[in-house]
Amino acid sequence: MEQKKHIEERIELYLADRLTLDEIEDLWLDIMKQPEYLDHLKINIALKELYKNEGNKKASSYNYYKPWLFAAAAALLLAFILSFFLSFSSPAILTLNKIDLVEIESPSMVRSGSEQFSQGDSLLNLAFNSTVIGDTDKALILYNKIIEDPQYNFYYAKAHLNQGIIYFNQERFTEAAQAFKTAIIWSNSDQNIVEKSYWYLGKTYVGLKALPEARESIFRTYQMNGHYRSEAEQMLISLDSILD
Amino acid sequence: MHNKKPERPDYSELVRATLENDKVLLNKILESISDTSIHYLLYHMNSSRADAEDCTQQAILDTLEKIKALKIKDPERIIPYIKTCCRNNYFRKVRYNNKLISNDHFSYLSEPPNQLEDIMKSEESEILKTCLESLNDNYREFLTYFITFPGVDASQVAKHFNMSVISVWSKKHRIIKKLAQCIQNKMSK
Repeated sequence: MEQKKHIEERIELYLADRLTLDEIEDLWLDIMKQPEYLDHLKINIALKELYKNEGNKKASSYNYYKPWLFAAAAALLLAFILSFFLSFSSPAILTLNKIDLVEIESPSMVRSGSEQFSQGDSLLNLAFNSTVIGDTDKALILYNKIIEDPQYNFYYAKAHLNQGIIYFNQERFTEAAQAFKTAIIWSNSDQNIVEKSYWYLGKTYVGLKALPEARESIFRTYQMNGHYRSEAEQMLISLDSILD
Repeated sequence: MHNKKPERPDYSELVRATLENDKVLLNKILESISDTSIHYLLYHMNSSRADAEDCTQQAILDTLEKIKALKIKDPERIIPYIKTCCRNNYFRKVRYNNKLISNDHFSYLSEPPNQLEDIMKSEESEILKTCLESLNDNYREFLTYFITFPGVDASQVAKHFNMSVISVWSKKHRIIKKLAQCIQNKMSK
């Protein structure tokens, strides 16, 4: 019999909407048996809320890559340097060009030549077509259709990643970051998806001017030693020159 | 959030207190059972607070009757019984109120808690911030990783922080417990 996961892990998965209904009921039973975990659940939720509400305006205070608290003056200085850097002398590597549509993920069988097409594949293709012809609103709706339907969970990672690309190109960086992070969660360790998501998540953080977070994501891309390693290395050098 | 640290109830004590009609002990044990049951209905079943309180009260009364009638002898069965009663009472209430019970209703039961705005009052949220700042850098860095990557796999966290997978959840548990204690201490002042 599979050993029960640690309650902290189950709370984490619960809040990420990754437990089944039975698992949720089981978690609540354990919380009811051990009431101190209700406070744990509340604190976990409150932390996420706190971050959501304040994380954007105080990003440097909540990043995990550098020490927790930057001095206010240092943060202001960093923001100034960053805005100056990005506005006037940004090296090509930190310039946020739009993501090429060739990066949009399509159903795997298109590449493998398989003739079996599921409804999920069709939706991905329809969304891709909409993106290519510039109807990104429709593409986002189609990706949402995939994301909201449990029968398409196999395609969640690709749908989130592709949504992230659209948001990024629309400079909706907060939404793009969330989409790329969710793509990683649903990637089921698919190296291509994970690497691509971290790479564009890093660029998204640059767009959000959250450079420590950008560095962390780009560093992860670099570590994966895949398609983006060389570009990631260059970007790390650029980021370090600003952050150091 | 409680003002004092909730204790793990001793459910064999609940049986004894019920049979001996020890109201002081009963109230003490039932307080935390009632609180978690209400939150179960609030967060998981998306009930209103009034419905949650009604259903929980009825579930507890039913359970005490069963204990008195010696129909629940195993203390381990008490909480599952209360939980089932709460759930059934809530559905009964919804039906009685002619509210919608359909597949749509059940579908959102699997969603994460959505009454987030109700979870912490602004005062508690401020205390949480203060408690966060009292944590050491290592703990804050660790917590922030989870916030940045919701639902992250333990193996990823373990790799990032160079620790074992088992230690990941123990450490998170330790930090959240520390925060809970900090909040309780500050609120009781």
